[in-house]
Amino acid sequence: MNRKSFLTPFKNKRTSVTMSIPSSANRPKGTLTPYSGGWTQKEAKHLLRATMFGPKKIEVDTFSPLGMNLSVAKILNPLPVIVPPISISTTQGDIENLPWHLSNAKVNNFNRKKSLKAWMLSNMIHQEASIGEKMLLFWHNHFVTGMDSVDDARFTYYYLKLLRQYSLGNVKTLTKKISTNAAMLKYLSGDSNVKGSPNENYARELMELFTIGAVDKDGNPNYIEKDVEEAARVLTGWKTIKSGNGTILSPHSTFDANKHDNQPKQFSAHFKNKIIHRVLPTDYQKELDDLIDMIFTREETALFIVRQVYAWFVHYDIDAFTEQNIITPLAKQLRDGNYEIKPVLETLLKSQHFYDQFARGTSVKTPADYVVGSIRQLEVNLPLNFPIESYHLLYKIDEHLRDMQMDILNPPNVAGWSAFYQSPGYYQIWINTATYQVRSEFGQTLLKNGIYSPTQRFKADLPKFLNLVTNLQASDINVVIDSCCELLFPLDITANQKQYLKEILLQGLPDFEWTVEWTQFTLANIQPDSPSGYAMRKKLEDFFIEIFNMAEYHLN
Amino acid sequence: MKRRNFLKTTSLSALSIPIVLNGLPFTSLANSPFYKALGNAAYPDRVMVLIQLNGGNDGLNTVIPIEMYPHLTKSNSQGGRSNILVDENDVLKLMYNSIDQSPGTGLHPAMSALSNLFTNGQLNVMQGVGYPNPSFSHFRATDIWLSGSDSNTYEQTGWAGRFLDHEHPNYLTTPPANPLAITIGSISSNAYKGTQLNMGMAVQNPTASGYFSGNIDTAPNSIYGYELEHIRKIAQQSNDYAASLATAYANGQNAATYPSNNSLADQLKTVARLISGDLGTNFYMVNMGSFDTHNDQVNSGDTKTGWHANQLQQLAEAINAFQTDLNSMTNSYGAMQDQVFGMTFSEFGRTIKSNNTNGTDHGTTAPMFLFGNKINPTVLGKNPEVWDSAQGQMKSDLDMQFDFRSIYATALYQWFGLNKGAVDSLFGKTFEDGTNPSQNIYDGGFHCNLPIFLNGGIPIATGVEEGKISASGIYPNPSLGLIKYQGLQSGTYQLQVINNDGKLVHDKQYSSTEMENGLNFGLPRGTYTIIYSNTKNKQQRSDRILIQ
Repeated sequence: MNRKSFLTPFKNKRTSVTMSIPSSANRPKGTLTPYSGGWTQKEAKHLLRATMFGPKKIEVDTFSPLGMNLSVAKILNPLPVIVPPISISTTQGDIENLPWHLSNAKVNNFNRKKSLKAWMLSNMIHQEASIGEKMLLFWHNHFVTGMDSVDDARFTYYYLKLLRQYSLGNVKTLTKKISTNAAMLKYLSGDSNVKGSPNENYARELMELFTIGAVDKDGNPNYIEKDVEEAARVLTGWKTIKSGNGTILSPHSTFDANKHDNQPKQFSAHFKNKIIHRVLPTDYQKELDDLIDMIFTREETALFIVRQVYAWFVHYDIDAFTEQNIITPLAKQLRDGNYEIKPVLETLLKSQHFYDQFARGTSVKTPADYVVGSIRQLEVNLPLNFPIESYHLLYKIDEHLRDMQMDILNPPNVAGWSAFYQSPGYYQIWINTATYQVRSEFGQTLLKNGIYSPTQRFKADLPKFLNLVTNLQASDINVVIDSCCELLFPLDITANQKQYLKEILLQGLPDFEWTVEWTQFTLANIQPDSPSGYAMRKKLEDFFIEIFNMAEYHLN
Repeated sequence: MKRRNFLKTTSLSALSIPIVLNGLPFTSLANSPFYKALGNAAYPDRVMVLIQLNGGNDGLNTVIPIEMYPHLTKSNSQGGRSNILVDENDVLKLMYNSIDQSPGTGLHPAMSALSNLFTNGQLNVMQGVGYPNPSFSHFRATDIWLSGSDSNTYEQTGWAGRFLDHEHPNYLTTPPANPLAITIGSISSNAYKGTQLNMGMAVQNPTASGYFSGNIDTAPNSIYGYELEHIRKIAQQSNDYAASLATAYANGQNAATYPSNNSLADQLKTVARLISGDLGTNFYMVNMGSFDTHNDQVNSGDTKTGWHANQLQQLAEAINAFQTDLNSMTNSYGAMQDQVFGMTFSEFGRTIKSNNTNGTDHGTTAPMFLFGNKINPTVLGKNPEVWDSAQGQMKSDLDMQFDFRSIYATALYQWFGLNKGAVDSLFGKTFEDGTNPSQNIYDGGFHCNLPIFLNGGIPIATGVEEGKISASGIYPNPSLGLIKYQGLQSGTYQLQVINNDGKLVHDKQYSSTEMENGLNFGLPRGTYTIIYSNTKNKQQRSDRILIQ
């Protein structure tokens, strides 16, 4: 399903490195040795930018004095349990305040899908200081299912719930669970994978995209076609729960022993010619565990997963140095630790390599980083006390993400978003002449025009933000410039660029005139929407719109 | 993504018939003034250049009321400005002011370039421009000037933006092929803000070495730098008008020498070049900073030199070079000097009284310069009074003689040919248009017929279309409504009239006799394209005509 071609991500990656990034460019050279340099606001910021969507000022301030060990420990806290989504509509047959995934009322899947997207975005926007939400998106991009394709948002809800539960957990266990997840069974044709006529769709992606990868770093195949066929036979019998006429009866899956191929499955020499075969019908289901265990005995599986993690948190560009000093030892740690992901993340996030000057600011913001990060960093508040209103606003925010080519819960295909694998370009794929305009328009919407729901407006309160980001020192123009740049850009911008930003606010006026204007503005105690504040707010809008338009703002 | 794909074709796509423009294939005319006229502003050949002097220019040290010297020479403790005043003998005297028989008006000695322009008949000085109850906040006062609001009303849109909105109601769905308004710099001016979006665009100045933009500093040699450069490149390319600007810039040129180390001159040089390259943009905004002279605006001991003198010299030389450039160039609309007029403005003037640090503080009104070949070359208004004879003391601030919105309104009415009703509605005021013979334009009220243009404010049809159209058989042009044809092959013709938004507003058959006798379509004021095709041999031609 949604499969465009036989994808060989890593192979593509290797050819592009020499094509695109100039060989003379400085690259991170640190190893996995724990970082022992200074821990300042800059290091805290780098950690939070990589692991969250746009750290807020208060979060950077909280992490700066902690030092690295405490900071990383804090950021690796598991995801909190969160309330399930509510219905976005109270008029479509769903019952208000009853989480819709439990509702047996007449399904309105269109509204449920909208609701789930809003819920997903809301969780990202209101994330705690934790890597969890970003890991969730990582796993969504890794174990892809598409909500439109699955066509029942309840399935996608339980899929997300599973990913959340294991986001910092055991990869092997997650792989076993996801293989029988109802959304995955729908997305990759599990229902039609039955004894006698196996459907290889899931088995192929399981190997190629979810676990071991098609080829190793030298381009040698990691398995043969027969292995895919045998894996598909192992998986026969898992299916969604439907009535005789095809009506979905439950958003969960079941195992039908009668549909399971109970003959031995013979794997190739890539898997030491292993035979998977459970004889007792009560043990048929365990063949899945045998299959996943077999795949995870291979070093290549650990290497493949670690490379995905590296591309997500550091950079897609894996050169020989990185392969040897970062990927290989991390893969060993993952395998030796029975595929627990958290210790591997901890090693990476505490490494010299991660904090290397040349590893900072190297990723292009995904649309999620850009949109959710901007909302968070500028502290634009959703009306949480009006959940329905809030969902309407969130769904409109989702429209911006889709315009930027990131339709969350609907990746373009089973390989995920192409920015993480497609050569050439990779991250650059996010930004083309059309999406750059869309990004710019979102900036204007958030900063100036606002997003409207029937009764609410969602818009940055820039004077308030200025007070916040400067710790109430906003009457000093230089503090304004420095503190905004420090929070909003990944690295320091040049003195010239700061001067340029300052000119937007001052247009040739001496610094003290800012103090006069700001003081007058604050003393007047102007309400956020009061016309008498237009002059100052227009200045601030122009200032932040320009920040949003600067290339630096699109890097993470 | 939403707007990009509409460019270049949609303004004409409403018409299904093939159009032959003056016998040339359609595509070869894609860049011609004629083509642009169909999708662009009312007067693609009409340009207004706005020079914003940021900080509040000291008007009394710029346009100097010579008769006021007995008062100005008082010390600042007595309300005068002796510590910063230039010597009366150094003032460049402009002329004898015919309005109030005052002893004359002069320019600061650093502005010889502008006094020459005055002598050449291309400069107009307006005295005492402001608005009632002025704001002394830089931000708020700038906002008022750019929005055209009252002192106590707040307007989200810009005055020029509202005009462009009015002219281009379908801007969002059918944006014009070329930018309507340009700010040289990094941010499109708030003057261009329309109801839905800013109708202008910002253009980084490509000519100036010292002019900095946020995207210019070299990216570091790293992966970060590599990704940065990619995004910068995309940002440049993603501008809808990148291509048309690049084309106009490449096709354009400069004929005059501009002063060096002069940021304003650099900006105006770019403006002249874009006009010369037939960009067809109506508004250009350029900026000059550092007029906020609270301290050391003059060198003590030599008051005709110093910071403010340098500023004024740069301003004067930049304007003069720009006008010289316009005077010697033509573009496809014709002589450039006839297409452009410029205007300086600042958010406020400064106090009459100087302060103890050789500077001046925020004040009320200030003079403005207007320049161009079609400008009425005179001083409008009287010298500002600094002495309150009734009270027998120095005034604290200068009085207003002209409301700045009257200048905008006059420009819209007489330069861009906007109808008075629209002018009124753009500002929420009723402007006098000169139909009342007893009105006094010096009353500080709202007028759209200030005598700032030559020929009593009748729109001057300039440029290539005029000549071509009269040769082709349609006349008179401009017209008050009646349009006649001459030299037609006898027969029946299909006539189609297209307005500036590309809408077909009239489509009917007429005999050649009717056309020769004259047709009146009752068209509102504006520019139109009239296509007529012979119903028998299918020959077509089209003309552009201005209805006054």
